[in-house]
Amino acid sequence: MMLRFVRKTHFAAVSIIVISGEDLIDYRTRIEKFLQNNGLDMDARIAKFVVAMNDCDANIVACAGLDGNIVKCVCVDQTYRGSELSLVIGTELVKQAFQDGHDDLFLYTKEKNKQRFNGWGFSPLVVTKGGVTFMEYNKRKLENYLQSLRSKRTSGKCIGSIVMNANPFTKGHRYLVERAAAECDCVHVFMVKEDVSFFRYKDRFKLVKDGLQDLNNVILHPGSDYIVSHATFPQYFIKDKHQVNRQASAVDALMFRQYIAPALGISVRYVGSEPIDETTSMYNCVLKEYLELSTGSAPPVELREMKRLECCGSVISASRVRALMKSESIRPIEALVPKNTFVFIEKYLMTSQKQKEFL
Amino acid sequence: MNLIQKGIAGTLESSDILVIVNPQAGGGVQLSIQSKVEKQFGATIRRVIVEKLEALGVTDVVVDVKDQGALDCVIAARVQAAVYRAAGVDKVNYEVLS
Repeated sequence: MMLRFVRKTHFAAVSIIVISGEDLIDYRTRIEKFLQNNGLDMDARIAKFVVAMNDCDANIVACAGLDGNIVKCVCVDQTYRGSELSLVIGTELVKQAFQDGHDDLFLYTKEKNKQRFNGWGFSPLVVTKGGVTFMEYNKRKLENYLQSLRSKRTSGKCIGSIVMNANPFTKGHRYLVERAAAECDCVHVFMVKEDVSFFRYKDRFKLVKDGLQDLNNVILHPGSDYIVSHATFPQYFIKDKHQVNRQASAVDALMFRQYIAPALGISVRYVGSEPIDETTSMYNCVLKEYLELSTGSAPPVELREMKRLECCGSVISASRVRALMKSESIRPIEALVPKNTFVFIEKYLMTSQKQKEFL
Repeated sequence: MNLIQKGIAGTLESSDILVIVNPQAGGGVQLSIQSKVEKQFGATIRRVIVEKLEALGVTDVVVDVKDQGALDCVIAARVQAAVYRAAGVDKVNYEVLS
C-alpha cells in the first residue's frame, strides 16, 4: 500500500492510496463491499486500485481500478458525488497508468456517465444501442493507428477481412482465409492481441504468419487495442449478464465499421458459421446487425458466414484442438491443424511432459 | 533541452491542467489539446504551450494536455514542470525560472 497524499475535501480529510500486488488481497473484500453497496461488481482482472479513504472512520469513499490499460470499477460514494474527489482519483489513476508504461488508456461505461469521464480527459469512440460507451484517453493514438493502416490500403473492388484469435491456428482458419482470398482482391487478417488465451500472442501470431505466407493477396496485421477482446470487456456495471457478451460484440463490431474498415476500404468481413457454440453464434448475429443492417455514419460492411470445414464428423475448431491437447491425445490433432501448428503443439506437449516428470 | 523520458505534471481538477510530454526524436512538436474552453481559448492555450517549449529549447516532443480552465501562468508552469521531469532535471534553480 502506498499513501499518495491526504486531501481536505468539503466533508473531511481523505487519504488517496494506491493498492497493488499482495496488499490487494487484504483490501479486496473491503473494496468489493464498497462496490456492491453502490450496485457494482468486482472485476477479478484488476491489478491496481486507487482508493480514497475517509480519515475519520477509514471507510472507502471512492475507488478506481486498472486492468492493464483498461480503467474499471470506478465508483464514488453518494455523499461525495459532485465534489472534486472523482477528479482527484482520476488524476492519480492516469498518472499511475502512465508511470506503469502504458501510453494510452481505455474504459467502458454507461452512456449517461460519458460526461463524467470526459472530465477525466477521455473521448468517446463508439456507443452501442445498449448504451455502452467505449472511450479512449489519448485519441491521437487511434489516429496514428488508422494512419498506419491507410499506408497498407490496396485498390480493388472487393476488400475482405477476418478477425481471428487463432488459439491455435487450425486448418479451419486456413480454409476460411483461402475462401476469402479466392473471392476478394485482397484480404486483411487481424489478430486478437490480448494474452489471455491458452497460447501466447507471440506464438499465435507466428503460426498464423507461417500458415498464410503463401497467399499473396493476404495482409496480416498485428493485434491492436482497437481489435477489442472479449476477455478484457468488463462486466461489473451490466446488470443483465446475458447482455455482457452482446455488448462486447457490439463494441467490437462498431470499432471495426467506424474506424478500421473505412481506413482500409474493407467491404466484406468473413466469419465461420457456428453450429455448436452459443456464444459464437450470438456473436455472429450481433456482428451482422452492427456491421451490415443498422444505419450509421460509416458505410456498411457485408458479413459473409462461411460453412466451417469438417473433419471426422464434426467441425474443426481451436477449442477442439485444445480439448485434445488436454487429454494428451496427440494423433487426432494432426488431421485438424497445418504442419507448422502440429510441430509446435508436439514440442509444447513434450516440454510440458518433461516438466511434469521433473517435478 | 534534451528529453529522455515521459514527464507528467498537473491534475485534472478545476482550474488546473494535466500535461504529459513524450520525447519524439526528429518528429517536431506535436500538440493535442482537450479543453472545456477550447472554443474560446484553444488558440491561447496552444500559443502559451508553444512559447514555453521554445523558451525551454524543446524541439521534438509530443505534448498531450487535458485542460480544466487553467490560467496562462498555470499552463506555462505545468508545461515547464513536465519538461523538466522528462529531461530528468531534479535540481531546479527557482531564481532563474523563465
